[in-house]
Amino acid sequence: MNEPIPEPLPAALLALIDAEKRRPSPPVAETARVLARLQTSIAATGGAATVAVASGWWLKTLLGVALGLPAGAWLHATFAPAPPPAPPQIVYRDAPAPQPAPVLEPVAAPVPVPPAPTKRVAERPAPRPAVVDPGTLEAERQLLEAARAGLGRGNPAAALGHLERHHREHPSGALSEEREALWVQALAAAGNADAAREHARAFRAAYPQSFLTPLVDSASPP
Amino acid sequence: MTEVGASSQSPGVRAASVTASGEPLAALYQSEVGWVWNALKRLGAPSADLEDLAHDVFLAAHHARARFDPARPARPWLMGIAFRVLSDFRRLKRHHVEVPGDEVPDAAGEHDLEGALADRQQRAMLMRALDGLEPDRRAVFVAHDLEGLAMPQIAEAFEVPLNTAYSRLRLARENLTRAVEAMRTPGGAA
Repeated sequence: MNEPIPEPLPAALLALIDAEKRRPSPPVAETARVLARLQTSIAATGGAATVAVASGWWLKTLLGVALGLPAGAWLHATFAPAPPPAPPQIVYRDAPAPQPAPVLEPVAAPVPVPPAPTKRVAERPAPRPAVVDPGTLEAERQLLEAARAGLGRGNPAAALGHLERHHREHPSGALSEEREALWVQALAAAGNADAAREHARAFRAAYPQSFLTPLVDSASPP
Repeated sequence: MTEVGASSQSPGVRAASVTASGEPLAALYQSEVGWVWNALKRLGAPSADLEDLAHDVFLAAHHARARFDPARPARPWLMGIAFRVLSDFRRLKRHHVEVPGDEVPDAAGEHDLEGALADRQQRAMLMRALDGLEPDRRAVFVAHDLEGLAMPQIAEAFEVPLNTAYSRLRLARENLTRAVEAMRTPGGAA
């Protein structure tokens, strides 16, 4: 096929285009905020859901965002032709017996930090259900939001409590990927670098294509 | 101030190169967020909404990752997503008119203050001229003349015939040239 060759650029535009090409890139702080919001949005629209439709996928995706969590779950259930295989679940063999989620304490109060998990075994849990119950998804989201809020307040122990509860109540939940990423962040924030590193390594192995990897890497560099 | 996603990166960056780590989407975000940000700006996204729109572009990319072909360049794919996200934004919010010349001062890397000022003025002039274009023409001009994407890639990204894409590029350049000359004319639309 003979393709028309674009004419040379008009001289009147050349200097302007050159100047535009030198436009500075955005500061890291702004793009970091975008990444943090992506984490929440991905969680709110069904975690690692894959919306694969022949056309109009982007509109449906935006609709899911605009309508919020239940619609996101609905989109996941409706448009994902087959649920992706659930990633290997991280199991803490020598973790302590489940404890109730700690009540949020002031930052200065001494709060227990769960011991570092030392052994992990990758298992393949039951596949993620094709239809995610919106109520369950909302319960998951609330726990992760509470964990994220704890981190935001500088209270990683509270965050870890919520994450443990999520792990207990939704071990193969739709938002497991988000939980595990937050877990790394919380461990790092609690000063438990070894556990964070171990957890981050398991996260990367379990979710090799995760959008949340930069956050995990930021908390615990590979 | 630290910057990300060097805008000078080759437009031919291939997804394959960012999948080497086995984390294609994460790597894609890290390598392309700066590029997407500036592409949105050039497409006409209001400065105040750039963060929201960049978020929407990558969220859409995340959900469309099954359609992501690592053997092909990533930027045309992202450009198509950015264009559609921005089109929806305009349709839904109806406030797509950017304030002309709302260049946000950014001293990052701009040690030559005089040159930086001249660059800002020229960018502002180009943005004002771009604001007068139809969005479809603007998108092709941005993708080809500013981002350096190939016309076949552009046609595919915007889902238009190749000849239509060329036609839009030609008309965009004509419109822009007239607008810029009018701004430079004393008493013109500067």
